[in-house]
Amino acid sequence: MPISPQTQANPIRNLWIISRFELTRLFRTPRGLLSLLTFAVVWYFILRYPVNFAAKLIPMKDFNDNISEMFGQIGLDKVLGWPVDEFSVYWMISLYLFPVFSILITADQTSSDRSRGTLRFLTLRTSRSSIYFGRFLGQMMIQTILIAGTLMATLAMAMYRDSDVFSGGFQSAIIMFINLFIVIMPFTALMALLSASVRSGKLSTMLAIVSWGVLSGFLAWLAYKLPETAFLQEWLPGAQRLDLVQTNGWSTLKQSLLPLIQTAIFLIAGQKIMVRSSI
Amino acid sequence: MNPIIKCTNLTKCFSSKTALNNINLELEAGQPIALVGPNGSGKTTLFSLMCGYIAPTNGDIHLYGNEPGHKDLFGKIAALPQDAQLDPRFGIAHQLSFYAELQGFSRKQALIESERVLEWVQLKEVLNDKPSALSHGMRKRVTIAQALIGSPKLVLLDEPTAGLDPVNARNIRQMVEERSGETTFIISSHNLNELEKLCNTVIYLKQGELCQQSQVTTPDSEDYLTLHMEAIDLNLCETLQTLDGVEEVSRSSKNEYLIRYHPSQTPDMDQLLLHLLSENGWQYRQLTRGKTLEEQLFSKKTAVG
Repeated sequence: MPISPQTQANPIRNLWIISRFELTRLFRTPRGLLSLLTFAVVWYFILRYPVNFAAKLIPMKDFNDNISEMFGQIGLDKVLGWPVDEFSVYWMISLYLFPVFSILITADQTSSDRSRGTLRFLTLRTSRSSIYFGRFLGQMMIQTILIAGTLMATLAMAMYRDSDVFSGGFQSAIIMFINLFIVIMPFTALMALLSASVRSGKLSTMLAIVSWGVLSGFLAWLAYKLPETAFLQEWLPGAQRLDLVQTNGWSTLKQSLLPLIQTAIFLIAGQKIMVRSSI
Repeated sequence: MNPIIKCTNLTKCFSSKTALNNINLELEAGQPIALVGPNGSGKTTLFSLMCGYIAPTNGDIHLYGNEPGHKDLFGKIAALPQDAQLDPRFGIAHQLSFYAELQGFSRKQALIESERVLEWVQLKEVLNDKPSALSHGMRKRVTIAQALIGSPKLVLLDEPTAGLDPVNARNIRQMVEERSGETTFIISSHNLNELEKLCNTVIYLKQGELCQQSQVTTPDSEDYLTLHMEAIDLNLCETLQTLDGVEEVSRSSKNEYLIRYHPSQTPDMDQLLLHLLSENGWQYRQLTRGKTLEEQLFSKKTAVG
């Protein structure tokens, strides 16, 4: 006896169903679990050695003076201004590492489905925009979990050293969480765009790396030849990270506008490609 | 009656190649529709246009009054696209339930629906398997099952029985026959015998052009009988020619004969023919009223007598 759907399919509900399905890619497939394990091992070593080691050195007055002087010359002295030393080191590493993770793990948002033909099953049930934004949202949810996990591990490590750091550490974790979420957004959106344009996740990763390298090289050359164009370099995804390292506390959120604009531009461009492309 | 599919001056070009050229077509709901044509004739391109996988270069296509990809068509149209595969990383039930949820089923209902459609293709036992654990034929049946989720109004099947063993091909044909009341199937296939059994309307494409849109049994074809013999007998043609009312006998293939006659003069020609065969001890395999679909589409007969 045929049963009828309870509700009419609607784009918002489908957006949620698609993003939820992305989560199962991470937690319910062997490949996803292996990626999770790899991520955990990488972060174990980061926390165990650079973060832990640096956090023990920073409180030493001589070391702190030297490093402040050295970092101050390159404008990084603010990095030591975070209330918990572990988070100072975590901040510098995560700002550069998470975008790399983003490029690697979010490269295949729709490309494999396109080459396999699975998109053909999906587009008869929901709009291409729902698929596109659902996948983006799903990838953001996955990375949110990963960022939250590393922040909790860092906080736990700091509290193991000194249980009084919870209050300052927790606030730092919240600020860093919001910042890192914003930092990875344009990278994830860029991968959504590239993934909508090609038929392989590996190809979209390579395209991202090559185009970023070529573009930053070109802009550097352009700035050298025409100094008035130097501001263009600040428009590259992730360019604000140097400013973020030089800031601490809630003031870091002042750097949020550019990545949000970049995210919107990449997402809109990718959505246009997704809607118009042959599948 | 409003057509379920209407193509107006539909053209699709891939760089310099014209895959479909100025197709004008109207199809109504009802019995299964056959889409036939040689390789490269534009069948898959037409399916892809109907499903909204590609956009036309020129012209329009409307399904139930909407352009392909319109939200009102979600769940109403389903397809077995050529070469499309399920995700190898997830179980069958997980994927089919996901598709059902996108069509508006609740999580619980979606699982029940997945079981139901798998039962239709006799594959309920693979519910928790991954696609990689299945044979090619089983994977194909699972992809047919996904096209049946939510009892869509229109199902496009591109080569549904290619690669299936005879028993499962028959099961798929039976399933199509059973579902034809509530669902209109459009089936692309090179198996003309299969289409002849299933479909009433035939669309014949050749080199991107619509060559023919006709009923499988037309009034014209009632002037013919097709006789399929067990073995060749040299005297058969001459003897058939002697029957009253027979106008022409032609051999359409090695053991197959097409007999043209006047039904008004000899309405019981089939009985006379069977009697003649019996008298001469000739074994026949099949006697069909009208021309075969193959004969209708590619008639290059060899007249005898």
